[in-house]
Amino acid sequence: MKYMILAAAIWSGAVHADLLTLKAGSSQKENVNISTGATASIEGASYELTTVGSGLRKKKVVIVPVKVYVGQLLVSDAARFVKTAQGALPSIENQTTVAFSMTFLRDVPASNIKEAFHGGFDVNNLGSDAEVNAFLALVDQVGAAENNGTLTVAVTKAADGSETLAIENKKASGATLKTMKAGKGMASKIMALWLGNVADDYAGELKAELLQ
Amino acid sequence: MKGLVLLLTLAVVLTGCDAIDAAKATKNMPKKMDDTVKKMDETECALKQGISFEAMLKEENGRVLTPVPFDLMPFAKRFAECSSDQDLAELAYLWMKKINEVTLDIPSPTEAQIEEFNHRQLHVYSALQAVAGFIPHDKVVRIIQDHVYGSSAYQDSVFELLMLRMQFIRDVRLENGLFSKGLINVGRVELAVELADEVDYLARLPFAGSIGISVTGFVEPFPDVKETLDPAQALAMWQKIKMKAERLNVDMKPGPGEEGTFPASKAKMAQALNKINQRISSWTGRP
Repeated sequence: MKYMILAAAIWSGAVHADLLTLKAGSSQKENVNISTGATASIEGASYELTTVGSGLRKKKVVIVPVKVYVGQLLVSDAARFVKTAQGALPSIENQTTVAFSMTFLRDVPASNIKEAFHGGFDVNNLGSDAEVNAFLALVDQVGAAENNGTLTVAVTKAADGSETLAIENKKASGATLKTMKAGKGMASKIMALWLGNVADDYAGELKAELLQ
Repeated sequence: MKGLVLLLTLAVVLTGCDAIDAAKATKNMPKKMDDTVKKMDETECALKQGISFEAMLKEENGRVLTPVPFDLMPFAKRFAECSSDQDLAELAYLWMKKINEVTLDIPSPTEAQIEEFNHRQLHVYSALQAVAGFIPHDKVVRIIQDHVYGSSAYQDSVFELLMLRMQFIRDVRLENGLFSKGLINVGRVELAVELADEVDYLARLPFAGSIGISVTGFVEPFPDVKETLDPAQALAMWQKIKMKAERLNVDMKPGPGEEGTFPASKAKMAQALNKINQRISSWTGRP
């Protein structure tokens, strides 16, 4: 009996609900299904989200840019999300839960993802922010992105002003989930990566596509 | 007696002459050895140049070209180091001509044939870009003197060579090289500064506006490549390196076994930051 209890405990520890359970849509980008919405599961609570934008992140190489990931932006209140270059990031203040899901089109080492995110935070004057650096440590911990794998970041706001961030790296071999507590404004800091100042031309193209 | 003295004197003089000759020969030895070593170096370099030229364009060394042409880079480096200024200007002319004038001579090519053609073109382009990027600085200065200021027949090709150099340093060595993993120690910061200095040099040339490239030799879906050097990229590069270096400076800690060398590393970091700030000031006019 005690072995069954032990096995159950180990099993329940090894399995967690997906951070985002996506609702399949009717369109695709680069063979990635673009969702209409999702249910986010963060620390035992569920949040309904709507997909408000999607786009392709490319990276400059010699002649033809490489395709890195298809990104999908999800929010809790689509009606209050502003789809303009200047208004999008400030409108994150109106949301109680936001998520960004990246389905990768190539393998990318964790150090490269971390460095790319750091560059994005730098151009938004967040490079030295303690909470941002704590988030980047989690990026390192969840590991490299895999071709066809998904890296998802979600942030939900509590009534007391605190925010909870969850990051999940889902690969063929399984998923790794990490969470952290943060102060007010964490959601906006994270979303600045995609809705704030852009680190390069291709980041600009992704932002424009997300806001179409 | 007098005869003996005369004989002895003659012996001393003759011996002295030989000694002087021997001394002279010994004095000339270092120069002769230098000349021999130089000839050996030149022969070794000529061999390396030939081997590298062949190796750069071998199919196996052109399989992976993006984001970094890993396999051909070591050969491109050797070739750039061992080639003469004239060789490099001529190579730029020949290979750019090849890229732009060789066509896919198939009436209705398949996707696979187009991909293969574009890959072959990209192989030559990547090799030329890597050679351009690895030319030692003093050789770049001489190439500019001879071919740009000297209005040689290869002047246009040198403008293209310099643009390729800019692209290689910016896109391969910095963006997809050092920056992709981060400036995680002072050595990487120093290398980033060294590379940015090369871009800075190009951006400040009086003819910087003429540095550019136009490549029309790819087949769709590959686009034409048209780029002229934008001096503003030098300042942007310095600002990016500054952000990353300042971040490291705050977080810098000695690794295991590095406690003894840490003060020297901090001093090097301070020097690097000083240089970065000086370069930025020289572009912005602000201290």
